[in-house]
Amino acid sequence: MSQTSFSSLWKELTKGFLKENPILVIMLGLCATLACSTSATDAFGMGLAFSFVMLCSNIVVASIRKLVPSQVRIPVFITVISTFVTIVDYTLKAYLPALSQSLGVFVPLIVVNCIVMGRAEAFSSKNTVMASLMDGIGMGIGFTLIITVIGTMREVIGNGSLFGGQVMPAQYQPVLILILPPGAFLVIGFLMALHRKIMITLYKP
Amino acid sequence: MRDFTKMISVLFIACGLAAGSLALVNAVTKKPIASHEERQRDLALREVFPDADEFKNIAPDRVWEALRKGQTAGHIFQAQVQGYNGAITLMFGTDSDGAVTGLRVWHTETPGLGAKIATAQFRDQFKNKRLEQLILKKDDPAKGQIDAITGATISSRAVTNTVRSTLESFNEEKAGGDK
Repeated sequence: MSQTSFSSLWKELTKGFLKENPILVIMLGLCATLACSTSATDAFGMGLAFSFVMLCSNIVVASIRKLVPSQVRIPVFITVISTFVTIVDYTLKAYLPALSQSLGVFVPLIVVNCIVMGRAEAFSSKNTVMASLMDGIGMGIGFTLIITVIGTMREVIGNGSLFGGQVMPAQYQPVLILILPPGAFLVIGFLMALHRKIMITLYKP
Repeated sequence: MRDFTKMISVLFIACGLAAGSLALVNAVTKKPIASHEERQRDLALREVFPDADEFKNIAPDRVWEALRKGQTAGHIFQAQVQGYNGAITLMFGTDSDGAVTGLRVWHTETPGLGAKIATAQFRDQFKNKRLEQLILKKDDPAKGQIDAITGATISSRAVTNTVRSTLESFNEEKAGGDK
């Protein structure tokens, strides 16, 4: 299989958007998705931080894949991932303190976002650097897109605001359950159903 | 045996490289992070005691003396308490008459419920209140002056009681020291 051809690289990039979306289809890393989607701003920030880690870890894992004996690959991958997470955490704290404050403990928690580990194990440890780069970007975009949609729905319905600004009329009574933990499950469930519907109409006759 | 040595050396090198790059990042970001934290604290101190122009730390991360034109104008306290969902950190000031000058909270309470302890509506209730008034109305209808947040009694009580107990223990300490 030639992975350097343009069309196959394009496929690696776009599969993360819908077809193999990390949240809706692979369904890994849901804990971060549930916890960080109470507001659109947090969700978007989480998406960006996640995308950076995803991309870097994919590139590094793919470039060292032939050097690492398979018995110790998991500890090596975890070391790589946690290094990048710590770099993101420190950099945010130093140069974007406002965002770092609102994301709080969830940036360090990207380490346990199993989708990063999942892609390292399932994809970049078996593919070229270029393909892994595309996979990382695609997964990052897919994750950021969906978590921001979830954050938007939860914030608008559950708090009457969007990106921190009031969007619902003042007399609107927020549906609190959506910003509480059960709300995340409800919204993800509805999105998954919608996603199934779209996929069936797009890919089946 | 060769496999074994290779495994160990690869893992060793990977961890070494990770440690090295983290040390580098730490060296670069240490200063901005520290100065940012200091600025944040300074802003918080000013917010809970707007009348003071200088702050002197007398117990590390716990008590500050607020000075105005070189004279003691009051004290600022920082305390931490278990809320409904994780720790709540509070900072508040009292002037020399013992009235509260302002309150700030940092928390991870439930959005829409306990998180309302950070709203001005809740925090402003503490302003100009004295030690004996700092109790929830529902806990002591006679003396209490603080309204709890609907649906978030635990968070409201944690904040109110911690402000009161911090002040009480400080007053006791001071009384003990004067003797």
